[in-house]
Parts: sequence; structure tokens; C-alpha cells
Amino acid sequence: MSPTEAWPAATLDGVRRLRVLAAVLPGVHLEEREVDQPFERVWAFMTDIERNVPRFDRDVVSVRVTHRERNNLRIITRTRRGLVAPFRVEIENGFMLMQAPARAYIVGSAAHPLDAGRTRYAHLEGVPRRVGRIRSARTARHVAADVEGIARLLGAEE
Amino acid sequence: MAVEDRVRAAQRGDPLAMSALIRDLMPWISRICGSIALDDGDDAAQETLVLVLRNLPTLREPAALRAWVRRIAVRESVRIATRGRDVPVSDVTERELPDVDLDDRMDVRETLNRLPPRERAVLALRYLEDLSEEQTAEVLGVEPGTVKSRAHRAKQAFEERWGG
Repeated sequence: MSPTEAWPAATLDGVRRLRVLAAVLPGVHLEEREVDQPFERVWAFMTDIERNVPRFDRDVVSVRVTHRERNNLRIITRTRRGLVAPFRVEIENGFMLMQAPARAYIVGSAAHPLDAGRTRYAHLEGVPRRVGRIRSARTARHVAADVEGIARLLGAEE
Repeated sequence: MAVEDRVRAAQRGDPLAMSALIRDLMPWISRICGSIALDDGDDAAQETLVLVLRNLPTLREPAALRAWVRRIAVRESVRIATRGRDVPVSDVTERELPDVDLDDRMDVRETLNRLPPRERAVLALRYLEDLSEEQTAEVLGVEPGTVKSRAHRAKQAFEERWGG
């Protein structure tokens, strides 16, 4: 063991990393929830983007992966209002961030295993710049609905 | 993307660049925060990164990132480790380091655990970061002599164990 390895090290799991982004990006909203499902199952669900995002996000009709290079993806999303938006996606174990061009919108997901087969899940969305109160409230409602949908679907698929 | 380009992109508010910067900095910050804040190390690392990203636009020269982040990480770790406790600098700097053998990971932690946060900061900067006494004093905002008295005993203890 080298001297450096013997020193205590802090950790910054995906949920904490998402908290950092939420603290510095105006216009985004973060919601966390403990889910009664193991981490592996939660993360497999979240990273199956094409299948599951349209199931829990009420605004999204479809997601198509157009390019995949290791943990970097390019996707095209289509909304109920007919908007088509490309996103760059970066996925790590327990952390995922999607970003639309010109920073028009971002979506973040993170999960961290807890005791007894439970998982802390965190979800972040929004326009990463200053927005008005009405838009901010709408984003908060949207994120809450997404998290509710994710928890419901994970529970229903047991 | 080179680190300097990533810093520039993060300064412009690019979330993917910010996220990548967190990933790049974390392995290094984790040692500083863990060694000084110990059980509060995760909180210290999180708060350090919030301050780094929030103040990143004020960093004129990306090449100075490491020294700038180190200063924030040390000060934030000391702040979080001492919150709710009154730890005057003079008391901290005049005490001797405990005599312990640094046999393994647990002993390093045990050694650090017996020290106040500001002394842990001296050890982290001198032996993890390999800074000089003058550089360590500058980061901590204390006189070099204060660092020297603490570092001497620590150096002996650590070199006996690690053969430095």
C-alpha cells in the first residue's frame, strides 16, 4: 500500500454529484427519493432510455438512440407537442446527464445503493439558466411527476 | 477535451463540462477532504465542488485551477470539520503530534483522528500534496514557522513508516 492509498478518502456518489450541479445551475430542479428496489434494478431501468423515458415522462412520446460510443450517446426525443430535440448523453455507473444543444435543457439521473436493498434516486431537470417563477414551478411539478412515475413503474414491475 | 478547454466550457455554464470537471477533480479532492474532514469528508467534497463551480468564472487562468481548488478544498474541509467547535489556531499549532506507528490504513486514520482539523490540513498539504512549508503556510494563511513546527514531527513519523 502506498502512503497515499493509506490516507482516508471522501466519496462523491452520483446523487451528491447531481446535488452539486443543482446547487450551481439556476433554473433546474432536483428531487430525491428512497426507492424500495436494489440499485442494479433502478439503474438498469433508468439507463434503458428508449424504453422507459416515454413511460415515466408525460411530455415525451419517443426516444431514439442515434449514436452510441461506450458511455456517450446521442439521442433524439420527440415530445407530445411535436418538438424534436437531440440530446448528448453521458452515462456512468449511478450517474447520467443529458444535455440539449445550446444548453436549452438538461436531464440528470443518479442512484446510490442504501442498506437493505434500497436505493436513493435523484432526478434533475430544467433549463440551466435563470428562469421566472412560473417556469420554475412548472419544472418542479414536472420533476416530481417523473420521480413519481419512476417509483410507480419500478414497483409495478416487481 | 483538454482540461483547460473543459474549464473554459464550464466557466460558460456548460453542464456537461461541469460534470466532467467534477469527475476529473474528485479523485484528488477526495484525499484532501477525507484526510482533513474525516467522517465529514463527503460533505466537505460536495461543498468544495459547489464553491469551485460557483466561483469558476472568477478564475482567470485555467492553468491555476489546481492550486485554486486545493485552497478551497482545504479551507472548506477545515470549516466543516470544525463547525460547532471552537478551535483557536494558537492552541492547535502549539501542541505536539501524538506518537503513533503508522502501520496501515487504520493507523493513518487513527493518527489523523487524534489531531485537530488544522493540523490534519498541515499533514495533508505536506505529505499528500507534497507542498513546501512556505506553500502550506500560504494555503492555510499562517506563518511558515507554524507549519514547520508541526511538519517536523509529522515528517519523522511518516518517514519511519513509509521510508520517505
